Amino acid sequence: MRNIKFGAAKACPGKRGKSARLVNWFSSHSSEGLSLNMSMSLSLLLSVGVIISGAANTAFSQNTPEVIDRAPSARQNTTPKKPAIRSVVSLVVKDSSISYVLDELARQAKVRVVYNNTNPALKKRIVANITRFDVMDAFAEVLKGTGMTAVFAPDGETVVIRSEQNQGRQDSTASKESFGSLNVTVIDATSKSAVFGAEIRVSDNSKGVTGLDGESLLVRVPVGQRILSIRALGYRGEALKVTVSPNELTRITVELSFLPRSLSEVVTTGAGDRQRLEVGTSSSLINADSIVKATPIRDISDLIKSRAPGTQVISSGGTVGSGSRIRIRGIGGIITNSDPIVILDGIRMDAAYSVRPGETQREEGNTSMSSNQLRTSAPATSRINDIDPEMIESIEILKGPSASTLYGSDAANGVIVIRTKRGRAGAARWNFATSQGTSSMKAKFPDSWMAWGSSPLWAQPGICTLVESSEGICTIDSVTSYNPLNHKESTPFGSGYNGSYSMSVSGGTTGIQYYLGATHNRATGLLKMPETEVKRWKNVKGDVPLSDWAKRPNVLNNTNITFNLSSEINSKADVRLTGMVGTQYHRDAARGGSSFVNVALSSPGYRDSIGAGWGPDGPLFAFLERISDATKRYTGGFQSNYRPNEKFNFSSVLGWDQGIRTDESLLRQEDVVGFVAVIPLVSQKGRYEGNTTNRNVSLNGVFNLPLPSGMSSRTTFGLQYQRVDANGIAIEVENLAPGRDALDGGIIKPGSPRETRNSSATMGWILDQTVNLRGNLFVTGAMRADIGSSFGKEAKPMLYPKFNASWLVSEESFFPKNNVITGFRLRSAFGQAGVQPGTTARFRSYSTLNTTNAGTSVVSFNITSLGNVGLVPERSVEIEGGFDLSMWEDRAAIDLTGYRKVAKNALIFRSLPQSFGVVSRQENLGQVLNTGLEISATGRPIVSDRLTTTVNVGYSKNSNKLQKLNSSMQNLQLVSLRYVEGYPVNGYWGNPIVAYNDINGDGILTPNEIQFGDSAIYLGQSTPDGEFSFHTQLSMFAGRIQLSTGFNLQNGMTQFNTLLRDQCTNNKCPQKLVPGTSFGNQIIGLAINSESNTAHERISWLRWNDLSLTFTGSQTVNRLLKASSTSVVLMGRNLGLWSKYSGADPEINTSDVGNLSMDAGGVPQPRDWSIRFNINF
Amino acid sequence: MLLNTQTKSLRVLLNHMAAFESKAGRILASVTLFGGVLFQGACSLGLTEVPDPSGIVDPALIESRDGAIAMYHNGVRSFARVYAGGSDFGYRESFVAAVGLGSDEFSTTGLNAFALRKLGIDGIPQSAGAATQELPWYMLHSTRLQVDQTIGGLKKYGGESNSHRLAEMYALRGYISVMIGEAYCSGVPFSRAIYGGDIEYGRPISTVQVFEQAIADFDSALAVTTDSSRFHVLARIGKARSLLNLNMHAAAAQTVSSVPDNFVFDITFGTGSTLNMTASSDFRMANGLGINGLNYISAGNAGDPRVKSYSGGMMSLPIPSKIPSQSAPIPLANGIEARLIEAEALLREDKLDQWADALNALRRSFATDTITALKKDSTTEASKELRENVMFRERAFWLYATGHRMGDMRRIVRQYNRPVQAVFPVGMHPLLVTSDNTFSLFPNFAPPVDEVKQNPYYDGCFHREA
Repeated sequence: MRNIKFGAAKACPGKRGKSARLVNWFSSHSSEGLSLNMSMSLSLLLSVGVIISGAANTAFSQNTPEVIDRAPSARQNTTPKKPAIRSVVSLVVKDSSISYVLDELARQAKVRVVYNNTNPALKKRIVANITRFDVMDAFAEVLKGTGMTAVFAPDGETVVIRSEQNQGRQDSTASKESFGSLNVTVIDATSKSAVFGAEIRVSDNSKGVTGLDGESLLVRVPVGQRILSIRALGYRGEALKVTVSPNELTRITVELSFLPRSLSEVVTTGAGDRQRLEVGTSSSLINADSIVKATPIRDISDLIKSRAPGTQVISSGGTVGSGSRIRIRGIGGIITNSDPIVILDGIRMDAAYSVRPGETQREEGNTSMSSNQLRTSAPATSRINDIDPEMIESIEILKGPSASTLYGSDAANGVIVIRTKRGRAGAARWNFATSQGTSSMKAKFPDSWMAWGSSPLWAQPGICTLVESSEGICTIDSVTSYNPLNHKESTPFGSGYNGSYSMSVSGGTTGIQYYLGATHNRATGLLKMPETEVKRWKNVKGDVPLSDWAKRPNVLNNTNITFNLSSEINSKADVRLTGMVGTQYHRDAARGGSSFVNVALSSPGYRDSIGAGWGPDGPLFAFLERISDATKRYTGGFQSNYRPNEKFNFSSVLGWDQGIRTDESLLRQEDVVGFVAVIPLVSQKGRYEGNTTNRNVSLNGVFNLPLPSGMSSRTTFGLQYQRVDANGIAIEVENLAPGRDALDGGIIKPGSPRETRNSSATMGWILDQTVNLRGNLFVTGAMRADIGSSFGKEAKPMLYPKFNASWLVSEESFFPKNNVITGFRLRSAFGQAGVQPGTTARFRSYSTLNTTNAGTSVVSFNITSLGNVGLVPERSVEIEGGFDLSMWEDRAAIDLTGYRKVAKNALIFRSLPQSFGVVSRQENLGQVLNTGLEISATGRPIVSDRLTTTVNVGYSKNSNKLQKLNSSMQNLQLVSLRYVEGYPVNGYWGNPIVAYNDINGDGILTPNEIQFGDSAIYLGQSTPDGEFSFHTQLSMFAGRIQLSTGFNLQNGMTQFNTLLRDQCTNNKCPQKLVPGTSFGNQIIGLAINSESNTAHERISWLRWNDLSLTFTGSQTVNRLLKASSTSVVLMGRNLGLWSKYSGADPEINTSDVGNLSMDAGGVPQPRDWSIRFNINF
Repeated sequence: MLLNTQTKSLRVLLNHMAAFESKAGRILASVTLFGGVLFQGACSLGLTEVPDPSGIVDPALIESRDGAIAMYHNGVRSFARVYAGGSDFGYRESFVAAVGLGSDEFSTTGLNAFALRKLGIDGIPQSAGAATQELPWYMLHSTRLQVDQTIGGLKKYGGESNSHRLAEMYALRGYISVMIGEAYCSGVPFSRAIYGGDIEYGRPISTVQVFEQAIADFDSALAVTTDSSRFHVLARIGKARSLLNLNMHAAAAQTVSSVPDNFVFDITFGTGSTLNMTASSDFRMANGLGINGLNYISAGNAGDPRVKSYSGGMMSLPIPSKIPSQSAPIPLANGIEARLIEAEALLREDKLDQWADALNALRRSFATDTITALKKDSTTEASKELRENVMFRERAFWLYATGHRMGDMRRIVRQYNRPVQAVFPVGMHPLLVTSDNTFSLFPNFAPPVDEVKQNPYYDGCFHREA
C-alpha cells in the first residue's frame, strides 16, 4: 500500500531503526478515507541519473538537464524535519497532472519536491481526493503504479521523486566508499554578491557554511549523486542534486533569491531560537552584514535606525562618539529609563545610554557604565556602540513584553539580540575592507541680532529693543545680524575625517570552525579651533603652541577584535566560544559644543574686534578643556549544546562582560593664564576609573514530544542568572600648579573623592510550552519567575506569564489558493515583563558625616532615604496582534502589528509631605499606556536581468499616555516638563497667550499688552509619535551595480529650543529687535521670558539618511587581484533635511537622561561622504 | 517544602511520561529537579545577595551600639542645624531666624534670593501654606526624623550607659514640638517613619496637642535620666516652656524650680560642624519693626547689654553682640529662662513684689554690664497692661535671638487677650514687596502648600489664630 522510503534511513544507517520506527509511528496515526482515482493508468519511470538544476532562481556552472526543483513558498521551504514529515495534507483534484499534484502536496507539507519534469509520466492527468493524509502516504498514493517512489531527503525538507530501478544503482554507487569534494559558492541572485553564512547540507550529512566570499568547501563527500540543500537568512532555500566524482573537486555556484520577511527566519525567544512561523510575536530582524557592506554605518545606532518599525533612535548630536537614545514602543516608565537590554551571543551586556533622571552612577542603584561620572557637560556615549557593526551578522529586536517575557525583570522595554559572525567550515577565507570618508557641516545657524539705538541718556550707541523704543527710552537706528558659526574664519566647523579598517578570517573543518575579525576606526569630528580664535591665542600666548586637543577637540578611535570558535564534539554535542575585546578612546568638546553654539546665538550680532563675532567667550575656552573617556571592553561567552536524542536538547551559556572606563577632564593652568573670560577660568582636573562587570549563566532544557494527529509538543525549562557589579572612584582637583597636569598638582574639590559601588543580582526560572497543532497552528504558554537583590529577601518571586499563538491561515483547506496571496498568518500575543527599581531603593539608608560634638570630632550617621520595603519591579503588560501577508510568490510581504502596552506599578519618586523630613521616596504608583501600530512592507516590484528593485517601507505610530499618577506628581520641578494624567509622560506645558493688543498703536507690543492664560496647556510630547522609513535598492546589470538609498520621516514631537529661549532672553533674537516684526513674532520674543514657553515647537522632519552606489568587481578584476570577490562602494550620509524647525537640526537631543528631548545647542548631524573597498580571498 | 512539592509532581509526571519514553521521562525529571534545586538554591545559597552599595552605611553597623551613638551625634548636629544653623541645601532659615523674622526681632536685608524667600516669613503671607515657608518646616521635621530614628536605635542598642544620650534625644524631640507649636498654626501634621518599619502619614493635631506631645517627650527624658544631669534640667525647662504655652504658669514654675541659676544648655556651632547663621548678613536686628516692634537696636545702643549690636557681615548690618561669630553658641535653655518662667507665674498670681524682685534679680545677676533696676512705676505700681508689657519685654531682651519671641507674642495675644494688631508688626513693610506691601496679620506660620498636596490626611490649618 505505502510505497515510501525514508531518506534518512538510507543516508544514516546508524539511525535507521529509530527513523523507521518514527515513520511507522506516524503511519499508524494516519487518517483514513483515502480515495484516489486515476483517469489514466500510470506507467512512469523517472530517471534519477541526472543533475538537477534549480528553480528559476537557481543556476549552475555546469550544464544540466532540465529538472524541476519545486521550492515551497516562504512558509514552506525550511520547515524542520519532524514537522515536515508529519505534515497532514488534503487535496481534491479532478483533472490535474501528477506534477501539479506533487507540487501542491509539497506546498501544503512545506517541503521541496524534486523530480525530472521531462518525464512524460508526470504529465498524466489524474483525479485525486486526499483527505488528511500524512504527506508521505499522499505522495505514495499519487505515485502508485508509476514505478516511481518518493524519498524524503535527510535534510528533512526535500522529497525526491525517483525511479525504483535507479534507486538500487545509486545506493550501490554510494557504497563504494570513495569520496570527492564539493566547493559550493552561494551568491545573491540579484546582486550576484557573495552570500555569507549560507548553510549547506549534503545528503550524506556533510554540512558547511559559506564564508564572507560566499564559498564553502565540503570534503570527503561520498561519490555519486547527492542532494544539496542550501539556505540562508533572508533567502529562499534551494535544493539540488549534484554528482560527486571520486577524488575530484566539484565546483558549484548556486544563486539564492531574495525572500522577503520569511516565516522560516530564525527568531529569538527567551526559551531559545524558533522559526518565525511558530512565534506569535512581532520582531524585527536586521541583516547587518549586507547593510554594513554597502551603507554608511558608523555604529550600532545607525544600523538600527529606521530599520525596525516601532524602534526610535534619537541622536544626541553630531560629534563623533555621541550616543543615541533607543526607545522601543514608546516611553515605558516614568522615572525609570526606557533603554532596552542587549544580549550579545547570549551574553547580557551593559549597553545602556541613559540613567534615571537626577541619578548618576555614584548615587543609588545605577550599575550602568554609561554615566558621566565627572559630570562634565560632554555628551553621553552609548555603550551599545562599543560593538563594531562589522562584526555583526544580525540584530533582532524583541519589541515588548509579549516577546521579551522570558528575559524577565529588566526586559519591559524590549530586547536587542545581537549575533556576531561565526566561523564556517572550509579553507581560510580572508576579507578585507576599508572605508575613508570626510564630513562637513551643512546646517545653517540662526543669526544673533543687534539693534543699535541712541538715547539722550547714553553717551554711546547701545542696544535698543523694540519695547524700549516703544517706551521712549531709546530710538533704534539700525539693526545688524551675524553668527560666527556661519563664517569661514570664525566657524569651529571644519572637515571631519573617518576611516575604518577591518579584516577577518574564517574557516575550519566540519569539526571546528573559527572566525576572527579585527577592526580599527579613526574618526576626527569636524570641530576645530576657529582661525580667529587661533589668532587670539597667539596674541596672548605668542609662540606657545596650542594643544592638539584644542585644535581638534573631537576624536574617536576604537579597535575591536572578535572571535568565534565552534566545535562539534560529536553528533550529539557542540560547543562555542565567543569573545570580543575592544578599546575606545573618545574626546569631545563640552556638551558636543553646546556652550559655543549657545554663545554664538547670543554673540554681539556683528563682527566685533574681540572675538571676530564671538565676543569675549568664543570656543577657545570650550576647546581648551580636554574631556575624554576611554573604555576597555571584554565580552566573552561559552555556549554548549547537548542532544542526547531526538527528544531532548540541553544548552547553556556562560557569559562575561566587563567594561573598564576611564574619564578625564583637564584644563591646564598655563592655558588659561592671560585670558579674561566672562566666567573666570580655573584650572582643574578630574579623573574617574570605573569597572562594570556583568556575569550571566543561562541553562535551558528542551523536550520535544510527538503527539497524535500530527501534533507535537515542545517544553523548555530554563534558568537564567545575572549579576552586575559596578565600582569606581572619581577624584577632582582644581587650581593646578603651572606645568602640572597630575591630580596631586591641585587642590581637592569639595565632595571629592567619591567612590561608587553598586551590585545587583537576578535569578530567573522559565517554563515554556509550545504545542504545534496540525502543523499550521502554534500555541505557546510560558512563565518566568524572578527573584532579585533589589526585591529584598522577603519578597515573593515575581511571575511574568506569556501566551501567544500563530496560525498559518493560508495552510487551511478553506483558504482560497491563488497566485496573489501566497501566505497569510495571523498572530497574537500576550506577555509581561518588568523593570527593576534601583538597588538601594528599598533601603532606609544612612550616609556618614564627620562632625564635631561638644568640641570632639565624631562620626555621625545621617539618614538619607526612607527606603520602601514594598517596592516591586514595574510590570509591563502587553497584548499585540497582527498578520503577515506574502503575495506574488513572496515578491511582496506585509507585516502589520498593533499593540497595547501598560506599565503597571510604574516607579515614581513620590514627593512626600515635608512633615516626613525627607523629600521623596520611590513608590509603585504610576501607570503608563503605550498603544501603537507597526507596519513593515518589503517587495521587489521590478525583477529582471537588467534591473531589480527592492523596497522596504516601515511605519510606526505610538501613543503614549500617563494613565494614572498620584496627584501630587502633577508638576515636576522642571519649568515646562510635566507629568499629567491623561497626557504623555514628559509632556511639555506652558501658559497660552490668550490675547494681545497694541494699545498705543505703534506697531510694537510690550509685555503688558500681552495677556497670558492662567493655567498651563499641553504643548506636545517630547519624543516623536510617528515614524516612516523608506529604503530602496536598485540592482542593475546583473547585480554589477547597486544603488541604495534611505529616507526617514519623524513627526509628532515637540522640541524645546532652549537656544532660541536664551537668545531672546539675552535680547539677541530678531523677534525683540527688528522693527516691523509681526505681532506673532514679537509675542514669541516677549513671551519667551515668561512661563508661556513659546520656544517649544511641534515639529516633523524628513531626513535623507543615506545613498550608496556599489560596483561589484568583474571576474577579470577578481582574477587580477586573485580575489574571489571585490566591490567598491560610494556612500553618502545625511544628505538632506527638510523641517520647519527654527533651530539648526530638529533631531538634536542634548538631554542624555530620561526621556525628554531638548535642543540646548548640540552639534547638528554632519554630512558624510566616504568610499569603501571590500575584497575577499 | 518547595522541593518536596516538586518531587511529588515529578513522580506524577514521570509516570505519565513513561507511557511514551521512560528514558525521556527520567531526563525530564532530572532537568526539573535540577531546575528546582537551582531555584531553591538561589535563595538558600544567597545567589541574589549582593554587597551593599557605596554611599550608604552598612545596615549591620547601624544596628549596633556604635551605630546608635553615631546616629545620636547626627541628631545633635541636625538639631543645631535647624535651631540656628542652616539646611544642607545652603538655605539659612533656621528656627531662630524664622521666628525672629516672623516676630519683631529681625528684618530682611534686601531682595536677594535668600531674602526674598524670607520675606514670605517676614511678611507672614495671608494665604495659608505658601511654598516660601517650606523652611524651617522641612528642617524641623527632618531633624525630628533623625532624632526619632536615633531614639529607636538607642532604645534597642544603646544600653544603660547611653541613657543620658537617650534622654537628650527625647528632650530635643520635645523641643522640636515646642518650636512647631510656637511657630505654626493649630492643625499641623507629624508624619513619621517607624524605626525599622514603614512610614505613616501624619494627621493634623492642634497647638495644644503639639505641646502635650512635647511634654510627653520631656517626661520620657526625665524618666530616662533621673539625676541632675544637664539633660534632666534641659527637659525640665522644655516641659515648663510647654506648660507656659498651655497657660499653666504655676505648673511651669514648679517644673523649673530646681533649675540652677547658672544652668546653660548651649547649642554649639563652629568649624567642622554647622555654622551659626544668625550672624549672617541675610537679616538684621530690627528696631521698632512695624510699629509694635520693640526697639532692640536703640536699647542696645543706649547700653542694654542684652540687645547690643555690632556691624557685621558683608553688608555691615546690625548683628546681635551676643552672637559675635558664626561659631558662637546660642542657648537652647538656661537658668534665666527658668527664672523668667517663675517670674511670669508670680505675675499671673499677682505677687507683684516678688515678681519685680525676680526681674530685678535677673538684671543684677546676669548682666555683663550694668542694667538699672526696674522702677516701681513699671512694675508694682504700673497698670496690669504695662506689667505684662514689662514681663514680655524682659523676656524679649533676655531671650533675644533664641527663638522665643514669636511664641511669646502669640501668648500675649492668646493668654493676655491682646489683639494681633497690637502685638505683631503692622502697617507698611519696610521693603514694600509683599502682596499688599503690608505685614501680615497672621500671627503664625502655616505648613507649606506641598504638605497639603502630598499628605492625604491634611487640608491645612485648623485656624490661623494665635
